[in-house]
Amino acid sequence: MTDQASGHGPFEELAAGYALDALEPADEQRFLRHAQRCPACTQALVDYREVAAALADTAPPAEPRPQLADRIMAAALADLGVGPQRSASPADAGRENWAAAGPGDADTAPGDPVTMPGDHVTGQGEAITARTDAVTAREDAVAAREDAVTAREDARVMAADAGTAQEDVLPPGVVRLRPRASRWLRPAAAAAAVALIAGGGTWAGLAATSSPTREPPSASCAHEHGCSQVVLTGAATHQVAAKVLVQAGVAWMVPTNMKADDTADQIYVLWQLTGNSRPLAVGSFDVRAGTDTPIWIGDLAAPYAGTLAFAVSLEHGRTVPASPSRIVALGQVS
Amino acid sequence: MHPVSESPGASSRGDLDDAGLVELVAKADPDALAVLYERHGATCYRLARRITLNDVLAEDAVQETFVGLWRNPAGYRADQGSVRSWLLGLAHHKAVDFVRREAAQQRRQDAHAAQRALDPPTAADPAATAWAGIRAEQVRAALAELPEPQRHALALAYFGGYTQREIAQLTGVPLGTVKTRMFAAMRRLQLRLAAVGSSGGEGTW
Repeated sequence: MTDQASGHGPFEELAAGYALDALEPADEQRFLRHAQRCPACTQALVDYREVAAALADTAPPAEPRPQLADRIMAAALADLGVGPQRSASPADAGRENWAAAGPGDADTAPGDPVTMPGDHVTGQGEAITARTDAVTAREDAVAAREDAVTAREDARVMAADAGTAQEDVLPPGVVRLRPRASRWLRPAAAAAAVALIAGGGTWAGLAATSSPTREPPSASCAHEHGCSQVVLTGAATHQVAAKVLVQAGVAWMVPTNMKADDTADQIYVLWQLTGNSRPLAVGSFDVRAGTDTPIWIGDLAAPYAGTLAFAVSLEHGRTVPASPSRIVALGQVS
Repeated sequence: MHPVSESPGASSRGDLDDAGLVELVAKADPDALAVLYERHGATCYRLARRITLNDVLAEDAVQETFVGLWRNPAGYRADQGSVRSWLLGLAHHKAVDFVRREAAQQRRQDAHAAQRALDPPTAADPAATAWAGIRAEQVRAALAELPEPQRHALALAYFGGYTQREIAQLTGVPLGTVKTRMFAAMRRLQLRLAAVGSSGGEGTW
């Protein structure tokens, strides 16, 4: 059992413990430092990891709620693109969601940094890279959160300068993203990772005098030529939450089943998801209990053709952030 | 399991093996992520649920695992073994993290629960066979062949989230003994499972 020739026995033993997440931090460090330059031990870890995974099959049956899948996919779709990303921490994702079905009995913050052993392992130690990458990703998440706050403050300044638009709809904020090298940059979109102007580039919101048509689409929009309807499903409820109507490049929101927001310090934002860029803010709106009439949101931020999905987020404060912080409803364009 | 994606892209992705799907995830393909979740999300959740004994924490662990995969697909390398074992390893690590932050009191109760989790079934339960599948039965049979102290150490570590030092304190044996038992158990399982041709593997099962 023990490889006496190379004195490898102790490390293979550590590999087994590592695969079970059962090592003390000191032993973890010792193993990682050794495995960094030992392909045999890296392979041993891979093998023991397979054994550990087999143990998972003996766990009692349990099915996750559909909401879990929705949250994962919503986070992925919201990430499509570049720039500061929202944290991977589920604590941000919807623990206090207004429509949350789950109990709030978890007091721990999953975003807390984990004490990670050893140095970042490269080369032969690929098997261990995932663990140290997780640490870096968590640090990136913290920095990304700080970037988002900065961008939000930028938007607030811009909105204040521009003056508020009529009614209760604030213009999409012009946000200047601080370029930041992020491990989440997708190669295809890296070139676009600087400034983004929501609103289709025309920044019509500032002028707002050439008033767009304020005639809402009719109820039979789905069946009309030139009018499109996208159904949004609640991220937590998995029920129909709202509909987005698009006509003549203008988006309207019909909140069929959305909770009224606290207009003192909350706002809903409609986002447009295309394949090539980060979510684009179309506009913001409030939901008042008992109202069912279409709400004018604004001009689309990008041509409707090529739009993958629409999403609604619920934001703190009264301005549009650089990126959605908490998706509450999502609907794919068919 | 609840299908997360019904687009035509998802059904074509279903023909790819896990490694191919991870490559697509690296190209920001959400359908590939959806298929990987459909294949392995439930098992990750079962494991996390067994460890944390808490639905919300289990979901958080799985969410962090798959969003982590989405944001850092390069963390997986083809020579790391199966994508499945890599995902389960991530989920296991996160679930154990959550558990270790809780009061020690709760986890003392888990010690007994962990022991029961790996005990051989007393009778062939048709319902158990239905949901467990052949693979689970193979693993359980292999576990049944382990000496009880080795199986106990394994259960406390894998499902209880205890460190070797904590297991030594719980069971009142020296740390070296715990290390030896855990190592022996893993070695025997490895040989036993390889004998039935069940190590690694792709796809849904």
